[in-house]
Amino acid sequence: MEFDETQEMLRESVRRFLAERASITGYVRPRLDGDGRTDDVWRGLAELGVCGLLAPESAGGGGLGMVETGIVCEEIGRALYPGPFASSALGAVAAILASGAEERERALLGELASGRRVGAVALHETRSRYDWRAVETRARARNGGGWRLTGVKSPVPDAAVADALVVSADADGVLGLFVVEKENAGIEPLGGLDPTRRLARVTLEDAPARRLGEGKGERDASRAIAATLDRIVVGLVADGLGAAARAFELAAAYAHERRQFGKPIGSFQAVQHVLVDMLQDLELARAATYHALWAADAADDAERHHAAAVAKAFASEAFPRIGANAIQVFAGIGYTWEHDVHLYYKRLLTVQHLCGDEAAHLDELARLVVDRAPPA
Amino acid sequence: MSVPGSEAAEALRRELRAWLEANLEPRFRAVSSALAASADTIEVLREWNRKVADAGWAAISWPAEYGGRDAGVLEQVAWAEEMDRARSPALVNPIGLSNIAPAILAYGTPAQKDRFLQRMRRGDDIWCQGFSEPDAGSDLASLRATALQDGDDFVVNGQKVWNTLGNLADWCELLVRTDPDAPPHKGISCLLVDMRLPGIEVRPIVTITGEAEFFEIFFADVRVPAEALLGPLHQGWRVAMTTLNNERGAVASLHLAVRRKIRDLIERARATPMGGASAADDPVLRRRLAHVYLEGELLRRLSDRALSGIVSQRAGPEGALTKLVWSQTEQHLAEVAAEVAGPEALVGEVARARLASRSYSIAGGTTQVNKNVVAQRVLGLPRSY
Ligand SMILES: Cc1cc2nc3c(=O)[nH]c(=O)nc-3n(C[C@H](O)[C@H](O)[C@H](O)COP(=O)(O)OP(=O)(O)OC[C@H]3O[C@@H](n4cnc5c(N)ncnc54)[C@H](O)[C@@H]3O)c2cc1C
Repeated sequence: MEFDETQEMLRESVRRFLAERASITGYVRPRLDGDGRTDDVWRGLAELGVCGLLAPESAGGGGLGMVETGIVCEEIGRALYPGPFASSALGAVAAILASGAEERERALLGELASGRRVGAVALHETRSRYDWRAVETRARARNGGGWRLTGVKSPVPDAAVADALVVSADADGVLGLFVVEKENAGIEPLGGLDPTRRLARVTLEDAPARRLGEGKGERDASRAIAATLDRIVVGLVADGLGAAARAFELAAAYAHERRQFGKPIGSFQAVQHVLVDMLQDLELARAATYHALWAADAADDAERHHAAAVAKAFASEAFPRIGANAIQVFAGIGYTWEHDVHLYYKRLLTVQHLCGDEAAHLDELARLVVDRAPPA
Repeated sequence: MSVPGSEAAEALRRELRAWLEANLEPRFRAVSSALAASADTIEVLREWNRKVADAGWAAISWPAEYGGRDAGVLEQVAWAEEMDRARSPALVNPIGLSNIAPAILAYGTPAQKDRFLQRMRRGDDIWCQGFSEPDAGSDLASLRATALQDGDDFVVNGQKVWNTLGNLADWCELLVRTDPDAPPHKGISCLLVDMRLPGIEVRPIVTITGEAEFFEIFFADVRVPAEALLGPLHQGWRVAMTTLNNERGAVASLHLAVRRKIRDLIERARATPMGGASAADDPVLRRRLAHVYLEGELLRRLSDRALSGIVSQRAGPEGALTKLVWSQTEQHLAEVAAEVAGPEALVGEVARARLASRSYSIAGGTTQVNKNVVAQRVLGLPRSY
């Protein structure tokens, strides 16, 4: 499976843009204490057309797919860019589309596509761990239209910089997806180990909301949520793939440069084999990720979901290992704040734990292929 | 982004599927491969091989003049998928077809090609590889078996070891030292040796499974005619390396057999009683099964990417990693199969497969040596030894 020329050009232009405008030393590091707000670079990405890739043309978007979106995620992960692309241009847009809310939410879609507003997606709750079906947030219909939401969503990536939140809630026994405007939600940054990907807790107390796909989509939003999550999951894995590839490249380069005992450390077999293990993890993750991106656009629901579970189960297992091995190759300097390798490691830990870890996705795979006969 | 495929491959797939449906009688499935065959059972396998070959379905990547179809890599993969789907037994010349024929095609004289290729394809001759020696394993270039020129003949002396199919082989691709004074890689030649020549003795080696899975071959003043030389004199190392490198088409379909075994294992787990339910319902085993299934899927995606890299001429590291991943997957599969079987893991086929799986990280180059090669060739790191 290969990317076509236009897709390669997209990758090239995003990589170049981020290298010029959001370098790690000049841009990412000075913002490590920030809340993930990156207005100038975000506007630049929007001008590149990147924020609207997934949004339909009717809303001013590119009407493209997850393959293009995943390429951007990969480059963003590679650059450790802290902005809300995955939450807004991918997550919120995918949620609206999966809910059949394209027409009603054309205004919001247009604003997300142009980058003027930022969206974030709040599906998980602390007590439900990774089970997005176990939702305690309640939605109550208001007399005269609209809804009120009460509950706590956490951790929610990029919520601190979001203008609008897509929130799942229990509405009279079925799941619904709702849009809550920022001013109606309590948003509390969580800090956390990864300074390049910001998480927050979102508290809703009788918060006014509108229901996605009302009168249009299915009453029960479970399918829409599942479809949205699969896309968020592969975007997340693509982000990790970029970060993992960069961590591997830095470690491999260091193995050529750093000398001990009069030789490059890359001449020691123990170091070589660590690097080969990293390459194996990386290339397996790459193969699974690209397939899952392809499947999100071109396969049926079952294969899309299966491919996402495969990619995420392995990413959650392998990415922390790649990051840890990279630190080991750098040794002392790799353990410092000054060196960049910890930033990749932290980004990879974020990817490991958001939206289902290895165990959660293995259980999902088991549900698909062990509890019933596996597909041929 | 597109999935590699071609009209030619799909046409071949349809044609082969129909042919297999019409011709693969159940009795041919009695033995799965020559590696599991005895002198008696091999005949059924040979009969099947001839049928396949005479219909033009063996060695399809070869040139048409030697009975192939000039099939490209996508067609080779379609062929492997259909053979797997129909559960066809393997052809009797696994080593000949995948390792030796490429060297003959690349270096053979017209006479050698005419003499050997058709018979290899049909399974009329079975081939083995005589590379390793007691003191030359990973460090193959240190091999010591000699072939000294004497008139029109080579006179071969020495010992080879771990020779798969040594018992059944009619011919051997043999690596020998022809110039003892040259540096290790420069003094080796490759000979195509008739295993019936006087002075050759084959002895079985009983492996950890308790079976004679491979053999050792002793050469005592064996007179081999000059025409046995494959490729230039003293350049057998290069000839042998074509051999070892030429597994790319097969690489892209390595996942088929292991994934089939994984599916079979899951089925078996579902039918294995455990605590009032099945082994597949046990929370620990269920997750282990899911993990080995995951590994099979990863291997498949890696193979697909290797394949699409070949087709689109993108140089990538996937091919170099496939054997590593494949061997790990096979070994994990054997381990999970044993866990599923419980006490039954100590007897029968599960036990045999568990033991046999240790060979996957040794045969064809050990895992460690494989990693050295990736470190040197893919990562460009200096040799560590
Ligand atoms: C089932 C099976 C079938 C086989 N079939 C054939 C056949 O048909 N024909 C044939 O010629 N051979 C065959 N072989 C032999 C096989 O190719 C060798 O066993 C293999 O190359 C390793 O050589 P060795 O066994 O001498 O191990 P050694 O080379 O002695 O290795 C011993 C240990 O040292 C490690 N080691 C060695 N060198 C290095 C290094 N540079 N760096 C790091 N670690 C190193 C190895 O990884 C291994 O763990 C077969 C082997 C098996 C198991």
